[in-house]
Amino acid sequence: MKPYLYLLPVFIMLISGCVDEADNIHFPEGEVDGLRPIYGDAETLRDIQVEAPRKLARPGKIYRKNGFLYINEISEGVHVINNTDPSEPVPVAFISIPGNVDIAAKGNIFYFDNFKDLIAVTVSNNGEIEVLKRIENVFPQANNFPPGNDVYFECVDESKGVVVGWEEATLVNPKCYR
Amino acid sequence: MKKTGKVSIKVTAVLLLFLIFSGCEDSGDSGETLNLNTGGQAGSMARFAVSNNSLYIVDQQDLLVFDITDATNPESKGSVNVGFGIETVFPYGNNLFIGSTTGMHIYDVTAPTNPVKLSVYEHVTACDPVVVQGNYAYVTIRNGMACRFGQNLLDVVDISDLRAPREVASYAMHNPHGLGIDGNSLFVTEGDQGLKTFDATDPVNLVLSSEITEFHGYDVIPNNGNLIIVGNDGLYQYDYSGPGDMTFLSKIAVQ
Repeated sequence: MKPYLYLLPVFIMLISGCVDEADNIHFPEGEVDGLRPIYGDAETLRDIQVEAPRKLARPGKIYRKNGFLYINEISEGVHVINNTDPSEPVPVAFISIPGNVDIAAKGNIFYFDNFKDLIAVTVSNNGEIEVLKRIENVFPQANNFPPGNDVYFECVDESKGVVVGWEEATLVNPKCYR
Repeated sequence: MKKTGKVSIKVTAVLLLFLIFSGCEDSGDSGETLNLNTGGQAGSMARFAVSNNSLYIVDQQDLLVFDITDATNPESKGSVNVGFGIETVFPYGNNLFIGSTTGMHIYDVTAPTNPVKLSVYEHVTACDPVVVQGNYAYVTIRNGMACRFGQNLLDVVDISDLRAPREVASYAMHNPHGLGIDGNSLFVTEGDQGLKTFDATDPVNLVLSSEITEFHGYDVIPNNGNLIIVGNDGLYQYDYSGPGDMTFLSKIAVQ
């Protein structure tokens, strides 16, 4: 027997294991701790702001450029840290970008994911952040899953609006998991 | 709303962000290990990669291509279906190395808006990223809830023939996540067991040179002797310029 054959069901589980409503995941009956979508206005998702530094809470990916570190705060934005002296890094700002997890740059232009959209931003001489371009729906699935893994969540109902965040909740008979 | 905050923010913005974004190019980047025109460096977990005048983004099953010849005006140039469970992209030379749950995909981007698949290095069950230096790719393979039944391995893959990558070594790991390589030093984050450093002078015979276990390690960027690590506990930095030595520099703890 081909050694890979017995792995076929495993592979099928793998590729379906991260999607909701997969029938190979055990969904508990009754009350379970999990996440519930917060619905809101699509415009609030596009509110990009430069703010005072924040504490690190759930750091994600990192990017380094010209003596500065950019640390993603999962789903919330980017910590900007002056790292000219790595033994004394200084947080200087937080860029609030709803739904953000990734960071890239070319020259002075930064690229961020902003929930379903890709944005190109710069900061002008007066310190205002400016979205130079927004390409919509680059990440069509971005709102439909909570951040993280191994969590039950209330399935997204798009008729209720766009998902602007997730809150911890006690779920009854959850039907979604990632 | 938040009026007082905004005043101080403005001051911060004017004094600091102008400095940041106005781009003192080249400062501190002379020893760039990624020989690309980005001026910046991402960790291995990145889904975004800038290579010359293109921004590449991997998203689940696709490789998306954006022309950023005019950086202010990224333009979509379509997408290429890569396969299931695409997670990370690492640009190196004229190639993209894409990490997925089933293996490492190698693309040629000599024609920047027309990525061509060269090969796939398949592993059976996996998660996670890849970094490349010279003729070798280093791939971490991680077990976890999102990729159950996986193993925890660090694979070394000979990519001297990009169309025929082949495994030359494989090492058992605890829970490897991001990784980075600079010269002869290979750094692998190990989840709740922190960070392992290997001497990769001979890529086929990696030698464990240091192990730091007091923090959770997720992703890592090595830059000219300065190691930047991020994980659930915060940001940690070490100096690795002394051979085999890891000197603690600083941390910013999660609060």
